[in-house]
This record gives sequence, C-alpha cells and structure tokens, in this order.
Amino acid sequence: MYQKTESSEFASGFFWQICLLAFLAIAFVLYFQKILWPDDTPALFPWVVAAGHTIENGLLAFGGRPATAPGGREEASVLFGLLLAAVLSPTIFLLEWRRRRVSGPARHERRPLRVSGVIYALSGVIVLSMAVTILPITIASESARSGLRHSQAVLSNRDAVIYEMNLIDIDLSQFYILPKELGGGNHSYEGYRLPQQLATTDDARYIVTAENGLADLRATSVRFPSCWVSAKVDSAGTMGEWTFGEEFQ
Amino acid sequence: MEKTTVTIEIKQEVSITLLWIAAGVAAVSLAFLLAPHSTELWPALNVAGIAAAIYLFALLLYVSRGPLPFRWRAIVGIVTIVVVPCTAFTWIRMEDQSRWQAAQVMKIRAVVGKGIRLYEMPRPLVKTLAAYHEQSPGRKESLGDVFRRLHKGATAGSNIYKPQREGDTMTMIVETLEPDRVALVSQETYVRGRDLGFENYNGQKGMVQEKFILTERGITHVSEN
Repeated sequence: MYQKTESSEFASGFFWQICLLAFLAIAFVLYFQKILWPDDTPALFPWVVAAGHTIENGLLAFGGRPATAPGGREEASVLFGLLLAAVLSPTIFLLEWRRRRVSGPARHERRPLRVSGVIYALSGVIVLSMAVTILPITIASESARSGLRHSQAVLSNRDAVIYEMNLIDIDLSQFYILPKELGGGNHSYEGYRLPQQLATTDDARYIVTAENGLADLRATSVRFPSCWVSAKVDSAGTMGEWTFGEEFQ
Repeated sequence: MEKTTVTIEIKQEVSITLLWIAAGVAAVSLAFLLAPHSTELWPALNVAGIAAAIYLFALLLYVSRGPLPFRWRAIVGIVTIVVVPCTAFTWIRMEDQSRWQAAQVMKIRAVVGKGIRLYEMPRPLVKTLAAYHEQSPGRKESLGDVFRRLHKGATAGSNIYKPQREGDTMTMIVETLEPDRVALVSQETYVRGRDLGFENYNGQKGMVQEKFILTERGITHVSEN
C-alpha cells in the first residue's frame, strides 16, 4: 500500500525524515567544526588544514624527528571541508536557486519557514560567504605572504651578518694573540687590517676600528642598505654592546 | 502472509539534487581516497580539488543552461570567473607558502647550528694558540702538546665537546692532532647542507659540517658543507 500526499515536494513521512536528516547534517557540520577544527581553522578552506600539517612536519624536522602522515581526523576534516564547500552547499543552493528563477512560485506565494527553504538559505550563506570572502582573503594572504617573506629575508640577512661578525671576531682574537713577527698585534688590536674576503661579502660590508685592547665593529647590510649592526670586541675577544639599526632591530 | 509495499515519491528536482550530491560526493571522495598518500595532505587534497573543480564546472554548466534568463547566466559566469581563479590561486599559494615555511624552519635550524659551532669550536683553539704563544722562548711545547695539556685525554678522533644541557647532542671531534696542526670538525646529523653528496666525517652524506684548523699562524675556518 502507499499513501499519496498533498505536499508538493515529498511523500508523507519522507518529508520529515529528510528534514530531520538535513538538520542533523547541519548540526553535524557545526558540531564537527568544533571537534575537527578546535583551533578555529575555517572548515570551508581545507587547504589551511593541509598547510598546517606541512608546517607541523617542518617543526618536527627542526627537532630531528621524522615527518608524520596525517591522522584520520585530519584527513576526515579536509575531505569533509572540501565536500561541504565544493559539493553539498553549491549543489543544493545552485539547483534550488535555478528552480526558483526558472519555475518557482512567485515570491509572495512562497510558504515561509519551510525546512527546504531553510536548507537552501543555509547553503546559500555558505556559498555566498565563500564567494564574497575569497577575493579579500586572496588579497590579504598575498599581502601577508610578501610581508612574511620580506621579514624572513631581513632576519636571514641579520643572521648572516652576525655569523660573519663572529668570524671577524675570531680573526681579531688571533691577531691580538699572535706576535708581530707572525703578523699579529702582540696583545693589541692596533694595526689590524680586515682581510678582503671578510671586509665585503654578499651580505654586508664591514669596518673595524681598532685601538689597543678594544675594537669597534660595524656592518652595513648589502641586501638592505639602511640596516646595520655594530658591536665591540674586548681584549679577551668577547663581543658585546650589540646595536641593531633600522629593520635589523 | 500479506506483502506490504512502501513507495516514496520524490519530486524530480529533489531527486536530481540528490543525484548530483551523490555523484559529487562519490567523485571527490574517491579522488581523495585513491590519490597517493604521503606524509602530507597536499597530494590527496590536490587530486580531490581537481575532481571538485570538474564537478563544479559541470554543475555550473547545468545550472546556467536555458531557459535561465541571460541576465542570471551572466551573473553566474562573472561570479565564477572571480571566485574559481581566486580560490585556485589562494589554494596553490597556500601550498607553496606552507612548503616555504617548513623549509625556512630547517634553514633557521641550520643557521642556529652553524652559529653554535662558530661560537663553541674556536674557543679551545684560541686558548691553545694563546697558551702556545705565551710560552717562554726557551721552553716550547708544540701546538699539539699544548692542546693535549688543555684537553686531557684528547686524541685524534675523540670528542672534546662537553654537553651544555640535557639532550645536547653536538659533538666536536678532533680530526687531526699533530705537533703543528690541530683540526676540529663538527657536523649536524639531520640538517642538510649545500652539497647533498658531501661525505660527512661520520659517514653520513650531505649534512652541515664545519671545520676549524689551528696552526702556529692562527685559526682557519672552513664551512665544509
């Protein structure tokens, strides 16, 4: 036996089942948003989860530990996010949107607060929020990306300059120790001349101003010409009084 | 026994929607699950993303077919032209950026390791050089003897580095201990250097390695890899 229904969409019973299913699906999305993305990673952008895993593996490598394969939860969150953003929401929204444009009832004839209407609205919110936010996100992430790369380039240059200043410090120390007959200063920095390969490198130009037991060291970046570092070297070869200029600060 | 049959009627558009969803979920999920899996999510996500893009393209074609008015078709087309390339661009850039950041972390690790070596390795050699040249002209110990006196038990091949903290695995190996030449070598065990084919002191390949050589005339630094 079967019953016909007066509902315009579903047979009796099935309508409420599918409504319940839809509500459960939405609750599932909202709940799993908290479970799967506890750190508020946006569900609609699964590539953010993948990027997070790549960076986590980088941090593991930093500590000398092997990279780990993504866990089931991570894989599920990525797949679910992709299905939600690229399949479920656009399909429900676009097909219903088309139906309404082509053959749907006039706006004043629609029954308010139908469950199918709620699902359509929710899908629309997801699709439109993606559509509206993706351009600003693209622009903001490009800006952040170039800012991060510039900051990292400055820091790398600063690290390289500090490294090379330490090499100069070693050269100064041995000059201070060596007797004059071996080209040293015999317990003085006076007469010290910076070797050419240390004076100018790809990263910076260096100047050493030496007195008896004290040397001033100043580096000017080649890559970021406004940036500079200065330090003092005492008679024990210890560097101190570091000062960093401009973006090196 | 009486047979009962339950028939469920679904309007055509609902069944079409369900069919589209089923096809999309199947295509994207299969692409994701069948893609090569590695220690990263990107390979599977990229393959699934391509499947999702093809699905969306087909869906948009289906949605924007006639008799949808031209005005709405144009709107769908314009939104698609903006949203899809932006999404693809952000996706690709995010992958590139995350790989860059992971590589950057290792570069920072290499810089830290080299910095520690540059700080630690010359110290025993500078002390040796100072002690050597402070000797009275009448009694001259060789460089090797002075080094051995300052580092009791040091022989060629021994590690003279004293760990600074728990878990400090750095080593400082006496590579050469001759009367007029002392060489110290120190390497990373998991941080790659410039040349991946470089043979390290401990037999590994391609790791960062620094060397300092002490002679009567001073200290020479060689960044071997």
